[in-house]
Amino acid sequence: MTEFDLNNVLSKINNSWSVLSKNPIEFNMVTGNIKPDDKSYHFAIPVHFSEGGPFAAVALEISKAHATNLSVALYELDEKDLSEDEILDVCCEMCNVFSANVCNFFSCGKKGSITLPNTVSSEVFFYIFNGSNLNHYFQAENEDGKIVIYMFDPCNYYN
Amino acid sequence: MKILIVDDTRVVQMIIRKSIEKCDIAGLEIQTASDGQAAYDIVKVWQPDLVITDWHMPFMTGLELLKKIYANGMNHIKVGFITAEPSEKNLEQAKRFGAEFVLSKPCTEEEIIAVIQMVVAKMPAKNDTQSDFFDNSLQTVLSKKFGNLISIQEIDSKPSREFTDTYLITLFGTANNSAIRAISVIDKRCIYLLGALISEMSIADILDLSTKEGVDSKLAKFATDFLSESGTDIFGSQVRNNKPEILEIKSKGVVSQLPEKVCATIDSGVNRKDFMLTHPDFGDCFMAIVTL
Repeated sequence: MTEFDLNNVLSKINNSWSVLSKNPIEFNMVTGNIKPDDKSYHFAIPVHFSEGGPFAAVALEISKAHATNLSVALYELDEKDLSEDEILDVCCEMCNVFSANVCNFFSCGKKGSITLPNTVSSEVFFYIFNGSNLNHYFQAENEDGKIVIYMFDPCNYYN
Repeated sequence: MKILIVDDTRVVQMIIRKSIEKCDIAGLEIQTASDGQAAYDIVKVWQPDLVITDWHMPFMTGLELLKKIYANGMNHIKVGFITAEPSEKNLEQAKRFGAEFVLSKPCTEEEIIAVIQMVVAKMPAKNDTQSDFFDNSLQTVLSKKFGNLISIQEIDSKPSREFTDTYLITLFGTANNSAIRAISVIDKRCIYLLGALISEMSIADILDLSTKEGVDSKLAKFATDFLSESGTDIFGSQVRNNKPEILEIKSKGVVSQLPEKVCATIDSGVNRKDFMLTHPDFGDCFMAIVTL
């Protein structure tokens, strides 16, 4: 990813979070090892490429505190009036928007097409995580915990 | 105004609904659907004025929904997208197929309100002046001129982009100091039928003549003269008898051959009536009348 692409992606991600949550937080690209948090919510969107090849995926890991705050902002309801189903609905939409932000920036340079977001259990998420190729991820962190956007990138397998 | 919101995420449905409700639209009714198929089922029965849809949804995408609405003749329904779809190629495709607007997620309430207000502003007002145009029916004019030779039946409007071998004949007039254009859409068979009846030639002779090169425009002249003479009776007193313009559409794609505003009005189905004309020896032919 060129510096221009990186700035472009980060700008999109930061803007998406800021518009929806109305509470800006700064995302950064991180390379290297990461240990997913099994206490957070996880969501994933398969991404395919028009030229064919293996599927990629974008996943969102979001702490329960961030997920709740985001839902409070979007539904304009008190936390006590929100169901977990409503929180998952909001996070699916957040995953959808983040995926659109990053899906054209896989390492192979191919343009990806996103599909539908799914809530995934921690077990399934760890299964995907352990079996996938992860070059980099985008992360924001504050007192409410972490928000991590993973790009599971299959492109290296055939590049 | 009836608006259908289509998104598989409830929070997005709610955000769009709240934004619309701030637009202060008269007679506003809103329904929601969570996928394209459910949306289409509502569209068929409820006939909304505007469908605001997401792109990626279970069972049917937003683009498939748009295509299905227009393929089934519901061209008066406006469709707009609020979507995270990142492919500019796909979004361009949506516009080519007639999407009224494409708004990228995430969008602010102000952006949603702005596009809704834009659509509302473009909706033709159904005022008295325009409805007057259809008070004097085509049927009365035809029976006055040709007795009971032609029977006429109002039919559902077909998409203008399906017009092939069709003539558009325009007449002008004024009402309330505004220029008004009346358009008659006539297929070639209808031109032959009117040509035969006006020139008092037999149907067989006219059909035989019509196979010769360059005859179409001469036959079209008969129909044009007829419309020019009868314009006031067909379209209303605001349209005066004057020199009509003729535009011939030889192949599909009236949309690419007419100014966008004219196409949009013909497609919208508002102030447009389509008719099937039937003559016992000739069969069916098609004619529509539209006002701008």
